[in-house]
Amino acid sequence: MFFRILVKDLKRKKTMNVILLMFIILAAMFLAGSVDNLIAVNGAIDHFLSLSNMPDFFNVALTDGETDEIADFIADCAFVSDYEIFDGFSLLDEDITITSCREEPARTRYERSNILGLGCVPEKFMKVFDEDDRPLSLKPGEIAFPQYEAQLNHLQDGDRVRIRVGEVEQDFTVAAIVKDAAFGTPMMGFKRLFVSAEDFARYAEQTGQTHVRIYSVDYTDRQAFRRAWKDGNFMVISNVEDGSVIRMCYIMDMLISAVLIVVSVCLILIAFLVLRFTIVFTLQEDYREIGIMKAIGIRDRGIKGLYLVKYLALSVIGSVIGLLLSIPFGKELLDRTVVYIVVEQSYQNRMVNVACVAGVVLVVMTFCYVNTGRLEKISVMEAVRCGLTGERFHAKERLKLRKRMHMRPYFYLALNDIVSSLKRYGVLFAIFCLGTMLILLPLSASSTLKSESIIDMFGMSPSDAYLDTGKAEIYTADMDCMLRDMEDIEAKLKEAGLQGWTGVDMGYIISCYAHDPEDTVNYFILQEMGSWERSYTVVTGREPEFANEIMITEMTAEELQVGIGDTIYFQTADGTDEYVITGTYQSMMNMGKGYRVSRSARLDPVYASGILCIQVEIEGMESKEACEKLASLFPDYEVMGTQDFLNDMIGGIIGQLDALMTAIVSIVLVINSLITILIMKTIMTREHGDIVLLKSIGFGDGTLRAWQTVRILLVLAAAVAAGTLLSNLLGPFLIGPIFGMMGGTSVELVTNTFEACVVYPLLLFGVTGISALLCAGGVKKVAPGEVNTGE
Amino acid sequence: MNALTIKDLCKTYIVNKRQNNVLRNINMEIAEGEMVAVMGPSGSGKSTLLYTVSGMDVMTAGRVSFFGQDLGSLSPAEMSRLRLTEMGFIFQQMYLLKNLSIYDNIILPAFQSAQGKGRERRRQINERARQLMHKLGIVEVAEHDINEVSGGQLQRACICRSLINEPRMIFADEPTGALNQQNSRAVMKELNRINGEGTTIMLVTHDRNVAARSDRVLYIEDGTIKGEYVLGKFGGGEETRQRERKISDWLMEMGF
Repeated sequence: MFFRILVKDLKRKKTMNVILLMFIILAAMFLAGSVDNLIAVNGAIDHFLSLSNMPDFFNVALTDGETDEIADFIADCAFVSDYEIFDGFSLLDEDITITSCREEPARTRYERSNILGLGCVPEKFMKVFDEDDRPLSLKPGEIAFPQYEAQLNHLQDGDRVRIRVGEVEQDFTVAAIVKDAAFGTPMMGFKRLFVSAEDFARYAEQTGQTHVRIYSVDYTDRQAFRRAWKDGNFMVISNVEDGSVIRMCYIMDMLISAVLIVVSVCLILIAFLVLRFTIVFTLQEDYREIGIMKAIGIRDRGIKGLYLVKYLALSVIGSVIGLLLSIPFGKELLDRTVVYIVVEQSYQNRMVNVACVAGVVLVVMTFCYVNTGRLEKISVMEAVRCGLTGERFHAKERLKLRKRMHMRPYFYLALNDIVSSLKRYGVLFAIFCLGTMLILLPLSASSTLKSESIIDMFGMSPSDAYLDTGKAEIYTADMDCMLRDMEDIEAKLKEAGLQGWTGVDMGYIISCYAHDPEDTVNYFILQEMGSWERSYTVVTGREPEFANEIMITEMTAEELQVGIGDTIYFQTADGTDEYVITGTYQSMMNMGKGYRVSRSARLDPVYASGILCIQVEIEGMESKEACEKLASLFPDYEVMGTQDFLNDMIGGIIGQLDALMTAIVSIVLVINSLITILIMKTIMTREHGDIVLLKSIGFGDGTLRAWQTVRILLVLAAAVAAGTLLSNLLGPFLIGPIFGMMGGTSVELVTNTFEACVVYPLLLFGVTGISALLCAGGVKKVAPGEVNTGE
Repeated sequence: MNALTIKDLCKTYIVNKRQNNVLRNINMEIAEGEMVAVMGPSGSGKSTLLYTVSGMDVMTAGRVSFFGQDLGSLSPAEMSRLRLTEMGFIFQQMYLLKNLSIYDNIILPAFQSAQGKGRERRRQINERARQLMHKLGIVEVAEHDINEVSGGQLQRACICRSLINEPRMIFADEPTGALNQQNSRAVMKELNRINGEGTTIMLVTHDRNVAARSDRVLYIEDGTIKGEYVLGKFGGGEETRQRERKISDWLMEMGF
């Protein structure tokens, strides 16, 4: 008999059962997909670095192709257990031409983000992977671009490019967009392009030289190798020892992973909230039937068993479907956000998915057990009367219609429903509020990164214009050339009747220590040059003025355990120089580590590592006007305003963050829409009698739809307000530390008021409102004549 | 002028691909100010007739004219408006919104119809609601929840709601069906009083006592009107029993 009751119940209450099933599917999908992602991204960076086989030590150096002291040193060093040398041709923008691409309108000009090295696919160390996470393999005529470069130039598989090395040109087909653990992240200042060994050999034969070399080394004794390396005093672009530096360059991926984890936790929370809501709701719907069963003498245990079997059946079916859906859902979420790394998708993760859906079944059964348990305490009469009459009556707090003469009846009904059933709508409120926070918190991070004030956080001083002459590499080797170019710029401005000043922040990489001469670390040091004297924002103390003074970042001060008045030692080939710390500043350049010396400090140009741009300040001109003037005077140079310069410098990060924002906004909108539809369906099923009554006494479909829709929008409005408030309150605690990790130790978060208070709320209201309105369209199907057939 | 003129009204339901003709060529008229009771065995089509002629259900064929207005020509929105402003409904089950007090349930349709008519109109509605509740003796439960009052009080609240917009006609489906005798008598007394004030009433009932208080009784069977019995205006008092007896005899003749 129980089986017959069960089958009848499943058929008769199709709507509620389907809604419950949908919620179980959603919960299982969110839980399994999110926990899977959580595990995957948690160890993703380490997994990726290990998969690509990062060496203990590597460095990038420029070579003339004839003498190679570093290669000789590595080959002979007793402490080197294994090594590999990556040969590459350095490429400029004009060396790459896009000959055919699928993107419309077609583009031919290539724009590189960084120094480019064209080489063949490494086999031992720093291996690279294609879009499907397989080790890269190329045939002759094929080329692979790193993700970031491909994104920047809208390149896709199948596009054609022409590469010129010296005088040799060859056409290639883009065969893969690669994930490069060592250099793939936008924060690395060097990018690798790959061709087959045959094509590379052809270039090498005809040009006779390579320009860039990467030496990857595994050593047997770290200290001994370091000493030997230091004694060699080799000229290199950069040294990277252990994976920590590379790991730090994945800060944005870590940030995205962190945000993904937050998203996952929110999704799990949402899943449980909706599950509890639906189970409590559907069981309340069954009050009367439970009462009848009790009245005819079926024992409580029997009734409970019946419902447990029903919910077990629904939860098992829903969980299995949810499990299947969680795989593409989780993958899509990861693929859209974590683009530069290979994420582990293992058999263990699938087991986690299974465990998650088993958890969903358990939760459903627990909720069911607890709620059916309550039914034992209520009388038959109460149950038959759906708990609405008799001793269980509790007066509800509600609004008085006659006191709200200004309100339209649909608005009154909507508001009164919410006030009368705060607990029921609390679930919806919590879900909407979480969704709002999920959007606003990353938006705050993105707005801060996009704001012009961020230039201060890179330890720089803002200027009217920023010039990229395309000769950064030349300036590094020939500082006089740079100073001549700066003088030329000023002279040309003078000719045009303008008073202008130029300045650069020259970067140096020098071994430094604070306490132990044996414990030196290469640090990035900035020195202001040029006619334009700028002032920099300090956190404590003051800027360095004299030749022996230095300002250090807060992160460096913390790392070296030093403060104002302490001494920093620079170790160069000429000996040791002492610098007294005069102040601290914050900088997100070089992951928050570095120094700034005064203009009068004497640093050996041999340690110069480059400049970001030439900054120009023109008297009596606004930035936009100055940029336009400079662009007309220097057509060969790229002229940027502060915002463009920031985009150029951290565009990859912003791009990644924007992609994450898009993914999050899409997820939140889909969740809001789904939850709105399902909760409205649930509530409308219960309110069927009320809808019929109102229709029968003359309420039109429009009024009823407005009642149902406004109710959801009122909850959304309250949730968006609460979400915005909470995001502002919690932002510094949740987003601040992420900037802190990058070196922005005293960052003031920027709120894009227009986006936060207009664009996204409108988007939320639009999508949720449309979903609610469409769902409320169900009232049209309700015939007023149904009042004849009872509730 | 006739309140309701029904010509060749048919209503057919399709259940499991089988045609079920619930109403077959119904022709009838109800004059303005008249109180007509429809009686008949269960499943004869009484309620369907009431819901179809009041525009709550769609007719399959025929024509229904409500105070000269052809209901078939009205859009769903116009039909809703008509039901809201010119018709009043009383159901067997005392349907009221659970989240609203008795008072708010009563004034809700009036506030809906008074949209855009200003605060003054709403003040008038409140005044009318108080008068109605006073007349029907439910002033003291006005602020109560619907599950705090008796069935009789609930039905009287439903009557107040049906009268709040001063409708031209009331449709009542078994208005005393769920009430005890005492409450039933009170409700019918109110309906007679309302009818006396000029409101046309069409009601469906199984109860001879209720039918005895009508001006005219229609007997419906298998979807067709088999006969009618004219009682004339109800005067109250001892007359009720005589009218009840006459109806009983007539119904026996009709085979009820």
